[in-house]
This record gives sequence, C-alpha cells and structure tokens, in this order.
Amino acid sequence: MTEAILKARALTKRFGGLVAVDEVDLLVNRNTVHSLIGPNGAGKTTLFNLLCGLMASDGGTVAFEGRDIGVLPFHKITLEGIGRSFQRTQVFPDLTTFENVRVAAQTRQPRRLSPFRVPRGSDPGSETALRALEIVGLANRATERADILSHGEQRALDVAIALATQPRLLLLDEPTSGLSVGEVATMTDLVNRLRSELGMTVLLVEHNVNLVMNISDVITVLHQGRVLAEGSPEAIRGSRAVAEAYLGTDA
Amino acid sequence: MQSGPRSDAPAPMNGVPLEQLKPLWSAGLVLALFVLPLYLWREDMIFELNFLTGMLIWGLLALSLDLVWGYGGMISLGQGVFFGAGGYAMAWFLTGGITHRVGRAPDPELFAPLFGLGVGIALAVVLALGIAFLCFRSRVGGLFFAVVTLALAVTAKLLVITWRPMTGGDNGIINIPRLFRVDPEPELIQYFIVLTAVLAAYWICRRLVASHFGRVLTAIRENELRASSIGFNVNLAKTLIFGVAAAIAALAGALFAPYNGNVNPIHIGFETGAIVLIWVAIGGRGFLLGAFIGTFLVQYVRFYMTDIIAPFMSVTTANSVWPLIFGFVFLGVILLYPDGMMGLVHRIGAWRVPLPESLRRALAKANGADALPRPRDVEGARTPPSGSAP
Repeated sequence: MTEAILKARALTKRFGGLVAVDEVDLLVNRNTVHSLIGPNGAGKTTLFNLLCGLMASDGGTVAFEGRDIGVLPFHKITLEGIGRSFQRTQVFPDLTTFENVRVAAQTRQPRRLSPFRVPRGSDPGSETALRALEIVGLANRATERADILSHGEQRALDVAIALATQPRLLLLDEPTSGLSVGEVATMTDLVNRLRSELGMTVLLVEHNVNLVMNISDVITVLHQGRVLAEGSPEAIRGSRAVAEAYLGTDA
Repeated sequence: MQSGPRSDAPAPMNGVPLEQLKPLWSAGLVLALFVLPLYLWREDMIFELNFLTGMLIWGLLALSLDLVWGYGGMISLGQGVFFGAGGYAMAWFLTGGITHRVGRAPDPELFAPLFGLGVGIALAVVLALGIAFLCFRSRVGGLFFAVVTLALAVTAKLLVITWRPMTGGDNGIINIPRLFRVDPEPELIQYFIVLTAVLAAYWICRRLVASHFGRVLTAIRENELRASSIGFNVNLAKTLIFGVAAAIAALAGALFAPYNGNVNPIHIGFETGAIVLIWVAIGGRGFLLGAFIGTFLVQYVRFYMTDIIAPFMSVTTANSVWPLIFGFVFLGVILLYPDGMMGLVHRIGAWRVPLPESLRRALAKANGADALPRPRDVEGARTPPSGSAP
C-alpha cells in the first residue's frame, strides 16, 4: 500500500578517518512521518545533509521519486520537491516575515530570477506565501521583521519558508530545539497536520524522544553512523539494542 | 525594539506618513536637479555647477558599490578598478590616443565617446565576471572576497603605472577633452549628460532591486545558506550583480574622465575603492538613494570644512587629517547607525502629516494598489546592535 518517496542506498560520508555515515540504507514512504534518532554524533545531521545535497557523499545513491538526486547541487534539490529546515534557525532577519516566505515561493514562479518581473500582491507566489504563514500560525505577523520574532516564531518561520517552496518531502532538522513546552505541542500539531491535511511526507531529526514516539510512523535509529534499528515507535521502544546505544551496555 | 516608543507616542494616527508622499518628493527632486543648474549657470557659480556634476558622477560610483554591498552582501574594495577601466577607456578614445596606441585609423569624433563607453564597460564587466567566477567557484566569500578585490585594486594600479604607452604611467592621461565639443556652455551640457546617465542608471537599479532577481539578491545578503536551500543559485546571482555593478562603475568612470580632464592611477587604486565604501556606509547601504546622499554629504563637508579649519592648520595638515576623521566617522556609523543617513530619512518618513482626502486617494493609487504587504515599521530599516540607544 505504501510507496517509497525517498530511497538512499549505501550512503557513506567520511571526515578524514572518521566514518560519520557508514553505508546507510534508508527508505522513506510517502505520506508518513519518519524520524531519525540517535545519540549525539550518531550521524543524523550528516545524513540529512547528504540527502539534501548540502554535502557530497563518498559513496552510495539517493533517489527521490525514482530520480537520482545524489548528483544534484544543493540549490537544485528544492526544485525537485524537497524542502528543509535547519537545526540552527535560518531565516532572513532583515526582511519581513511575509517576504521571507514570499521569496521562497518565488522559486516556483515563472521567471523566478527575472530582473524585469516585479513581484505583486496578486501573484500566485504571494498567495502561496500567505498560506504557508497561515499553516504555521504566523499570518498575523506577516508585516513584522523576522528578527523581532520570538525564537519559537522563528522556528515556525523556518518551517514556513520550506513549505513555501511547495515540497512533497519536508526535511526538518530538530524543529523543536529550544522551544518551550507549549511551543513543542504546537510544532507537534503542525507536523501532524502537514501529513494528514497536506499529504506531505516528513523526515525529521529529533532529540525529543516523547515527541518522536508520538508523531512518527517509522523511526530509524542511527548509532555511530550505522542504522541500528528501524520500525514502529512501539518496536523501537521495546528494542534492547536501542536502549543500550542510548544508555550504555550496563543499563 | 523600535515599534515600542512609536506606539505610545501621543501623535495622532489620522495623518499620512510622509514616506507615502514619495511620488511627490521624488518628482520634486528630479525637477530641482534639472532647474538648479540653470540658476547656477553664471560666471561666478561655475565651480558650484561642476561640483554638482562631480557629485553625481561619484554618486554613480557609490551606487555601484551599494548594489554589491547593500544588496549582494559582498564588500568590494575594488570598485575603483572598474571605475578606472571606464575612465581610461574613455580617455583613450577622447584623446584619439587609441589610434596611435594600437595603430588604427582615427575614430570619427562623434562616435569616440560611444566607443570609449562601450570598451570601458566591456573591460570592466569581463574583469568583474572573471574575478567573481573564480572567487565563488573556490568558495571565497565574506572578508576573503574583500581581500581579493583589494588585491585586484593594488594589482590594477601597479599595472597602470607600469604600462606607460597605454596609460601614461604615474601621470595618467591628461588633457582629456569634453564629451561633445560644443560651444557655448560646455559645463551646462556636461551637467545634463551626466544627469541623464545618472537618472537612467538609478532608475535601472531601482527596477532591478525590486525585481525577482533583486529579491533573491536581498535574500542572499541576509542568509546565503537559506537562499540556496530555497532553490537559488547563490554564486550565479552574486556573480551577475557584481558584473552589473562593474558596468555602472565603468559608466561613472567614463563620465569622470572628460569631466576631470585627466585620469591617473589614484582613480583606479585602493584609494578610490575605500572612500566609496565610506560614502555608502554614511549614506546608508541597501537603499540606492543613500549612496548619493553619503557621497554628497562627505564631499560637501570635506570641501567646505576645509575653509573653516584653514585658520587652524595648513592645507597639507588638513588633507592628512581628513582620512583620520572620516575613518572614525565610518567606524561610528557602521557600529551605531548601520542605516546611515537613510535611517534618519526613514525616521522622518514615518512622521504623519494631515492630508485632504482627495490627495490621499491619489497617493494610494500612485503607490500601487497591488503592492505587497509592507512592514509595520520602516521598510528595510535595520535595528542598531543592542545596547546602543539612538
């Protein structure tokens, strides 16, 4: 019943002698929330960067919807239909919240780099942008500059920027980092809605284990650059290998 | 936060912010630029007229840096090189020098300025695209890019000093005639030629920064990683704007050569590249108009303050003191008022004035009904770093 949207085979990344990601196979199914967890230094973010083309891999392939994207430069991945947010918030601080997402939506506009085309309020891109802000709950902050938003709002804006590029697969790198309890709940709700209402596929790196257990369909546990376990939240919760990786063998 | 004090200010909110009068005052400014020289066109005002012409030319150079720095986010110390390329190329053609320099038949005089302009711009653009391509391909960015442009400026100056037959060495090229040898009133003609070129370039830049391309450029200035993660080729956009800016700098240089009557290695070197940086910083980067305001302000103060401080020190001392003063002003502005004079302009623009309803509606129409949502505070205004109360 499910169909793979992203397939990674034997992905490998070395930093000098350290093998950060070691022949990792990953299969992400369409319209699921798939989480990557693992102790610090397990290679989660590196794997993320390989998937979206921010880093060049030392081996292995990545296929998105059946197309090989492993060879594409970083900026072309978005046009394929993959959006991403960042562990450290990446917004455009001097621009308004609206312009932050509008410029992202511009990437799907005709003549997106034209020096003659001036963006207008009636452009489809402007509508996409407003919608992205509504989805993450920032529509009432549209005319504020991004740098006066709170940390939680900036995290949401980071996701909205990714949404405005109209992705089918969304890569979220620790979307809840630094958020308050209330904001974590909002973000959880947002991720759920992305899948159920917008039919999006979400691949997520997350440290908040409770959150991961609540919203994931599939969890992949990385440890020392390798896939240690993969399965439903229940299966991962019961796995002895995972407990040992997190807590040490003496636990 | 800047919105705080404004919201509890007792000012009535029923007026219209001054900045909405933009169509009016920009029309007024352009009109003034056309009318003022007619007033200045008198025997005893020639100096003032030429001063104004010079300001427009230097402002054009500052405009080119503002595109690179204020919108592309790249610090370039090498704008003088492109300025010089335009200046020397124009000088070659206007002095007829290119003919005996490369041994061709004399150029028809009418087309000499066009050839000069074309060759100058082509030279600058090729150089700029080459440098930018090499830099960004090897991931040279930020301060290292500034260092590369500095090296370019130093190298270009040395080349010009060494390559005597083409450049006149240390003395440069002298006795450059005016663009069009028309009498009478060559100064007035020159002013209008410069004004036309400057207005055209300014209009093109205005359009450019408001366009899709300009928006992407602004995004790149704000956050390169984010800009490329939403699908834009950062290196391509930066390379292109560097090329466009080089063309504008070359245009400024091409206007400067006949205006100044000579071009020399100072104009191509780091000295020019650095002073432009100060003009743009003081005017406020990222607004286009700031480039002209900064240029005018700094040069005006420099010229007229010299008279005031003359009783206290010799001209030589004053000349060596100025860079020091401007160095400190530059530092202060960068640290405390990143928006420079344009910060002040925007603050004034936020003042509300009462207007009759009919005029208000006409303005709304002129400002565009299909405009994008505007920021609640002043558009594009940067807040100073925390701890520095304005």
